[in-house]
Amino acid sequence: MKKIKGLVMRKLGSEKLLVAESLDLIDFNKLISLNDSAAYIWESLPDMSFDTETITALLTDRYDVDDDTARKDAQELIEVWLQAGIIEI
Amino acid sequence: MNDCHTYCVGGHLFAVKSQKGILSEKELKPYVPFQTHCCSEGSDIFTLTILSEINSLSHIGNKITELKDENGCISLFSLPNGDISIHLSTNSGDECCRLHIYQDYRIAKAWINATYRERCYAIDTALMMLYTFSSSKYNTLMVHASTVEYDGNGYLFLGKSGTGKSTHSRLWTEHINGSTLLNDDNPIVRIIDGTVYVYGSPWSGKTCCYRNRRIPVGGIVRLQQAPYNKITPLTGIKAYASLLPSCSCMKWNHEMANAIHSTISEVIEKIPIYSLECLPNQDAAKLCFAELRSNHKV
Repeated sequence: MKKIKGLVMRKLGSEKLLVAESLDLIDFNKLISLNDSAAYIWESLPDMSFDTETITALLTDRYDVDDDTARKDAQELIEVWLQAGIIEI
Repeated sequence: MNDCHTYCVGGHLFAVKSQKGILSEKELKPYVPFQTHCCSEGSDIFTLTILSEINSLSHIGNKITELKDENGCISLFSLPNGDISIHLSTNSGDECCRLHIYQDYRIAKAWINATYRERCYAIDTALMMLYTFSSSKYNTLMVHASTVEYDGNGYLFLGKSGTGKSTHSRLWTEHINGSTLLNDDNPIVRIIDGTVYVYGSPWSGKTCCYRNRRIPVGGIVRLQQAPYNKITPLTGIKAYASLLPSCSCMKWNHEMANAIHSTISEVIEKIPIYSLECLPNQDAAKLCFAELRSNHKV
């Protein structure tokens, strides 16, 4: 999977959001609000491709969760992000 | 003989130069209230020179994008040296204006060729684009809004085209004693020393309301059509999301996107923002007015 190019993370007080700021995304007029863990994962993910295991590792690195729980959370997150159109397969 | 007029909009000076007679009185009418005689080169945000020939502007670079609105089509090209070339065409497809903007947005040249009605569209669009480009770094926003004044404060009504921004303003001026129209389409919002101000501008849509006046902003309301009237305060991301789409910006230009982001962030911290689901009736204006005034600092 890959992050959609041209999305920029903006801070708004304590909140974080993704805003489309490129010509390719001129019709992307949503703002995506990220909570702290989502923002951490988004920032840590490489611009190149990643998979469920990349996110699982990021979660177990930072949070006190076992592999299985982290993997399940990673899968859920990927589904939500695919639906929001901020990552692509 | 050349004409040179300097205008002050949103507290920013810009100059329009042309050979005598190229621009008619009708085309310049919205700008007359903003004309100023203090011509301090250093503080000008841009100078636009209107040419009578297209010859010197014939370069074409890579097409960046094409924007269409109800009046026509705007195509943006980036040239190899970093300059921007903008071509305006009318709905019938005729090119009516070519605008060449030099790298730092401070100097531009334009060629305008069309009938009277389209010439107004061309000069207004060219100046609005230049103004947006060159003023964004000074905590300044060009906002698509209808704006009323009440008791020395400005209230901005935002919304997609056709939502009823102008109608809502008219409902205020008809039913709320003491309210007047400041601008009906594109007022300027600017933060100076921590205070958020709204300014009238020469760009007021179909309404001839060109008021050279600055007042503090009392509130910003995003309108949405509904079969009822309901007003809801917005904060954080929702407030940001309601203001962002109404601010002119070349969002693929990082410098400009950063500047607009920081200005909007400060505006939503300081100014009450609302969503108003409304009917086009008197009650909507009264509900909106009551809510805005109850939140007003005493």
